[in-house]
Amino acid sequence: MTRAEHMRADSGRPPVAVGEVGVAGAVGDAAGTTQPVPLVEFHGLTKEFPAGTEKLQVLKGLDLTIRRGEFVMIMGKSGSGKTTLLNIIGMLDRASAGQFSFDGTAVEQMKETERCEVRNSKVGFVFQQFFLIDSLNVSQNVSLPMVFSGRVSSAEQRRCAQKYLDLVGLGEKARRRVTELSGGQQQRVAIARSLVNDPLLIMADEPTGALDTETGEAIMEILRRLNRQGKTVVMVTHDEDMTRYATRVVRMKDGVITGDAPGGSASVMSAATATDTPVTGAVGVGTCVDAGTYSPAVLSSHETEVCA
Amino acid sequence: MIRNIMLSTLLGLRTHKLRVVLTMVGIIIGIASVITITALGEGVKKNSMDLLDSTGVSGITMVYLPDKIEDMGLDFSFKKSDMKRLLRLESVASIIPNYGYFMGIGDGEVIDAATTYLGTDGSISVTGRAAGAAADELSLGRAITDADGESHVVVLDYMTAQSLAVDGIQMRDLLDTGISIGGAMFRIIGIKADPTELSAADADWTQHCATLPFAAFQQLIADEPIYSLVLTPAAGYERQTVIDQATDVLTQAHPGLAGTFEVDDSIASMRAEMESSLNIAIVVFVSITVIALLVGGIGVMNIMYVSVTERRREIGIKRAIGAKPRVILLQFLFEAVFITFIGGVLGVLFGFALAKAAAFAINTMVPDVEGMFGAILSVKMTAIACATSAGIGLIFGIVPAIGAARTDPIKAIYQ
Ligand SMILES: Nc1ncnc2c1ncn2[C@@H]1O[C@H](COP(=O)(O)OP(=O)(O)OP(=O)(O)O)[C@@H](O)[C@H]1O
Ligand SMILES: [Mg+2]
Repeated sequence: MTRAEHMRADSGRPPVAVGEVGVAGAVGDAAGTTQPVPLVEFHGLTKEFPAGTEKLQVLKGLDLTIRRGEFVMIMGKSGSGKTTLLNIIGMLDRASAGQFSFDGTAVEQMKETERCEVRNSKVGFVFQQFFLIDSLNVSQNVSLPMVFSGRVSSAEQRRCAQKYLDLVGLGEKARRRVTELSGGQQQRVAIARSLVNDPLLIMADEPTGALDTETGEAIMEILRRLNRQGKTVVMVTHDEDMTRYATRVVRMKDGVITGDAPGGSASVMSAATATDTPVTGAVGVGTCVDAGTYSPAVLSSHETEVCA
Repeated sequence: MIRNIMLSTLLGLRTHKLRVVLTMVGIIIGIASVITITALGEGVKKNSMDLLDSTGVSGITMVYLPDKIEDMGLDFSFKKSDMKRLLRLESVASIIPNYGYFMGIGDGEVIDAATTYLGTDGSISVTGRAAGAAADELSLGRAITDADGESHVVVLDYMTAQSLAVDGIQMRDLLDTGISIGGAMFRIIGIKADPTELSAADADWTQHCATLPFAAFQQLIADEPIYSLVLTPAAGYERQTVIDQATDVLTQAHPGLAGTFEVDDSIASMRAEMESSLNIAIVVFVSITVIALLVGGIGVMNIMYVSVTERRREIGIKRAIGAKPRVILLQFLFEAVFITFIGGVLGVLFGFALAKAAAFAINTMVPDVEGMFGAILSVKMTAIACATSAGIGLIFGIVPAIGAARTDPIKAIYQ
């Protein structure tokens, strides 16, 4: 079974032959149109936290649709509920009310083990504080999502971890302890970790928040590259300057969405979706299972393109 | 995946070596003390049982018991015909008759016989020289040889010779004189060495009694009553089968006796008694160490709680990137079992070494124990010890591990 089939099988749709990978993510209604299925879609999303005897409503009935291939930046003041929203989208947390579907599946009905599987295979997390495991070395940290998916042999895990470390420019550091790395390097390790299971969606909560501007820019370049290769990225930030990387900017205030506009990279995005560019795992990054499609050259060409 | 979990657990333990070792210490001490005590106990048990066995417990000693207590002293003797009948039983391999008293199978028999020397009555202990047996140490004269056949010659023990050599008679004057033993005249041909001047190894029991040629001894005891018969079961026959069949044969052969044939199992009961008292001692020590192990287990539980609390963020991260609660549970359970199992293995090795050392020390330093102490490590005991220690990890690790598995990923990462 290829990875693409896995994902469709997981989301309850009939498996599709390998040859149809080109329209992955665009499998639409019975009429056969190529309207992309929204990756994330929610209506009236509400989140309350118990605060003493009262309840604190942090998200107040949000409606949002995120399509494949978008680079969504969520902006807003501290305490506006960005992290809470991100945690719900990434299935780390559950909404108090509202409908929420991920990749065509209603999330409310999912059991915890199913949510774990989705987090493991379809979502990649990048946190502000990196959250690597200090007792493991760089390569082992990157391999961890594959360990939990339980589908990849350890030799394959090492090979695959190496591939993604090369991708973020840390191929040399595979055997190092994570504590020996700089903040920027640790964040790149975290990005490699978020990618190894070839997720549909990358969730990044202030990924540059703990880094200096220059290092932050490098991280953003990596995210932009991944987005251009088809990954959907949802990122939370405070930094207005970052919006140039996004195809879409969503603004929040006190648990409400107050703005939703195209970002600085919107034109790139529309070009990609307009030509129906395949957006799951077919370009550049590839998957560990379909290692044949991976070519480091693709990335380095992007790199030169970006630097030029 | 299990392999991966184990591997990452071991990698995690690497960073807490000291704590892991300290946790193990409790288990090591507990298991080591159980192993020391049981290994020593088993060793002493085996050695003492071997000792008892060598004194004839494997044979079945049949005796006659009159119904009435007051008939106890009444003369009863097994007959040679009884022995012939019993030997016809397939279940009986061999029979040794017991005359007088008995020094144990293989050592031969001794009887007390009445003596008259120069008109003075006395009594001596007499034995027969088994063909080919090594000669005793002599002080005078010559030893009995195979060539003596059934001739009436005797080699006196030193003490007897001393008691006869009175009133100006020298010991050497005894040689070639006649002595009446059990009513028959024997010629004194030699006198044994003084046992008090011999080494312990040479001064065995034969040194303390007079010796006749084997055939002559057999004639002497032919008229002696046979108090008991020692049956050796044939291979493949149960003890009880032999006892039942022999009792039947003897009862039929002696009709009209107001008594029964019984097994004299005084040695067997001695053995059982010894075994049970040793077992009680072992059980007592094992119970004490079980308490010690419980304490060790609580230590493990404590450490596991610390470990879970300390690694809350790590758990949160793993849960966030897709580890199922079951995986986290397995990880901590494996960690607990690994620590206690390794502790158990080390405890077995350590405990056995200690038992060996203790046995050696007692054997060399305490007089009169003569190698009674030993250490035996049975496969069963090793398996029990290892399983127990792993079980302790499982039992005391499960609650903290469940706690870890229930960790809320968000709270854990943003703690
Ligand atoms: N577990 C919780 N229990 C109670 N209140 C919470 C919890 N998590 C978040 N909150 C509250 O919800 C509100 C939104 O928090 P959230 O972390 O989503 O904000 P944010 O937009 O990410 O802010 P920041 O930019 O500082 O990261 C805050 O007022 C916070 O105190
Ligand atoms: Mg936040």
